[in-house]
Amino acid sequence: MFFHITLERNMQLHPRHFGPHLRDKLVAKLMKDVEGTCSGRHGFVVAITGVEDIGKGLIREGTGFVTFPVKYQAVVFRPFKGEILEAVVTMVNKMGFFAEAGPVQIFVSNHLIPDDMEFQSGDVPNYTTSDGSVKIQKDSEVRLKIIGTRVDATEIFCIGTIKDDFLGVINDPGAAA
Amino acid sequence: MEVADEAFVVAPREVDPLRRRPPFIPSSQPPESFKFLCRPNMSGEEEENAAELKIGEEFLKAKCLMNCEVARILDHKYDQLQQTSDDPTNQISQVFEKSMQYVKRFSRYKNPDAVRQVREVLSRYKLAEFELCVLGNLCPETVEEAIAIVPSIKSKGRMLEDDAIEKMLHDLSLIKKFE
Repeated sequence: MFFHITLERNMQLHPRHFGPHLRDKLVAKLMKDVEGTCSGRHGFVVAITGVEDIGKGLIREGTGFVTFPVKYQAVVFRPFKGEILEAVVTMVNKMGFFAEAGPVQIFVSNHLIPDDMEFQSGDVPNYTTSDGSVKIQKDSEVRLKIIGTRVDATEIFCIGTIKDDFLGVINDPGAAA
Repeated sequence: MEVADEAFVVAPREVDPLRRRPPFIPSSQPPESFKFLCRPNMSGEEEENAAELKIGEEFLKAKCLMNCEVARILDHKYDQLQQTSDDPTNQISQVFEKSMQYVKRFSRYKNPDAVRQVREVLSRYKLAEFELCVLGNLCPETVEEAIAIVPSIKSKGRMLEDDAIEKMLHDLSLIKKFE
């Protein structure tokens, strides 16, 4: 789920940036430092939408750098256990398939794919029901439930399932072609 | 030959006293140093579960965004970046790009007026922000589907009856129809 939240960060600024454009420099540095990063607590920081407040700077002894506490608003993407969302399938193999929901990668193991879906290898590896009516392949859109998350230093990985009511394929690229 | 035989005689094994393990004393209580493992979570927080709306205080209070709303914000930001710099590609992070592709693909409502209406309609039903956005993103068609994707709307202490959910879904489908 995407959220709009207020975050805080202490920014260190080199003295050469001091001057009439100090605020602009600080905001530019904040965007460069923060956008695209990921933390376990807040998830992926997608975009900074505004700077709420810049506090009083504090000069660091010895270096001359100044630390500013900055309060800013950002759009973040944070997956939750138990959340249901839609994702695009990126890779299919005999162990299961990988899907992407925005910046987050979700793996659905073949144990968590309905039992009536079988893996078919070949040019376009896919999972298909015995009657061939439902197919999961690369670029399919699926609705899945997140059942586990693993937080890395720079990324969050999720484990998902489609073995539940109202989960599974919502759009099959092969069907239209 | 004799020498070789001697070499194969196995000397009685002597246990190095330094490597001997301390005796294992079973007890019902875990040792003090392992106490932290017994908590449900290292930080002592309750485990998260979106189905029961356990998403942490911070996110519960925060403003949730539906995919279509994120699409508008990111579009706006993208335009801004393009205006301010000559080469926009070097400023756009992978996270931004992937999110933008994702929300464009999964936006139910393209029209900004419709998006506002969806929020307005759903907010009449005393939903949490998180529930509101899941419903707005997935647009369930039946009451069973709505309860399956947002189990917390049927949890204890909520006044939402099936009829109310039905009406809510109907209102949603109307917005989509007249968009």
